[in-house]
Amino acid sequence: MIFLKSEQELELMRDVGRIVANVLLELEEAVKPGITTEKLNEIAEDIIIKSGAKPMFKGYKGFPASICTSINEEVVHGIPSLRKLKSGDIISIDVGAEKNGYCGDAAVTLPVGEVNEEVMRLIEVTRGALSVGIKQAVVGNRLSDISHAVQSYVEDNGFSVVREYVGHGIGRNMHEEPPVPNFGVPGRGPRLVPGMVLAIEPMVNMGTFMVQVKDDGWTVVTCDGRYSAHFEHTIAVTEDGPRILTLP
Amino acid sequence: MVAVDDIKIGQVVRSKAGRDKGRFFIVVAVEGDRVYLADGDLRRVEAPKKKNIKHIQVTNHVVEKIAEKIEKGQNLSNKEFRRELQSLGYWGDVMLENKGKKEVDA
Repeated sequence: MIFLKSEQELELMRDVGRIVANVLLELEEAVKPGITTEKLNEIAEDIIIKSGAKPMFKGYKGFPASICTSINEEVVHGIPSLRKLKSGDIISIDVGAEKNGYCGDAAVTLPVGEVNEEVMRLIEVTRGALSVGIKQAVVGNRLSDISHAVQSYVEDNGFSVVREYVGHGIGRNMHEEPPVPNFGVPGRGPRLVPGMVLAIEPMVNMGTFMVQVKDDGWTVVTCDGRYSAHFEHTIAVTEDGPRILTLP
Repeated sequence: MVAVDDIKIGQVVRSKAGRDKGRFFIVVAVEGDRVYLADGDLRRVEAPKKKNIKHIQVTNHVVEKIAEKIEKGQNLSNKEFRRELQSLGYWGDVMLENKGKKEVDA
């Protein structure tokens, strides 16, 4: 069942979205060679709580932290630890928060120090894939128009899209209907109508699209060990076009 | 056509050509028919991108806070640039006003 959100509910989602965006802005500043992912988690949790919200990921199916920190060949769901970032790394940070009963979810991939050109291109293409997906989130389109646009953009640029993990509806719950895959043919799935709120999140790999889960039961890694990038925004479908809720 | 007089320090502009085509930036300096642009991300404040005014499109947004800092010669931060652009609804090459107005094409 897809829940449609009223204008008032969208305001509440915009509020929590703002908090998520502010966390990402602060973390972008903090990411430097030498910092631990646990420190990034602390910074994020501090801001979320001081803003009157709750970290949405913490405790979700037992996830132990407030953010996911996925480095290099890690795709998503990396757990913050004492691991120090070093120059040449890339880190994907996923932040989720809940306030007044509504959720916000966004992610960015950041270079650490000096990163090689092809890896920078991976990051830019992943960001571009999210842009391209957002532009499809208009009334009258079908859900898979988003999926198809993301896949085409990524593959035209020589990278691959992860199949096993997908975007999702979001609202009073972190994960709601409908799933939002990053691949597929256009013209399928529910028709997009005003009030739908979707977390669109392309996960893009340099090599094979295949992924697997590490022994910790959480961290998803590429099967070929090559790098992966991830960007995400929470987007409302409105009469006037897509509205990014996860902005400052 | 954009004329030099149209462009203000602090103005949000969009790139029409080059690898950054479609992306939004803030003008940090104007020199003849060239402008210097930064977005705190692809183009950091330490190394603004020089562009011909022929290759940019102006928007109605001028970020006064940043314009003032530049005038006073104060330090600029990349975070500030990212925050200001995003809070106006600019993200990458997507422009959406916070109220969710239709996306503007180049």
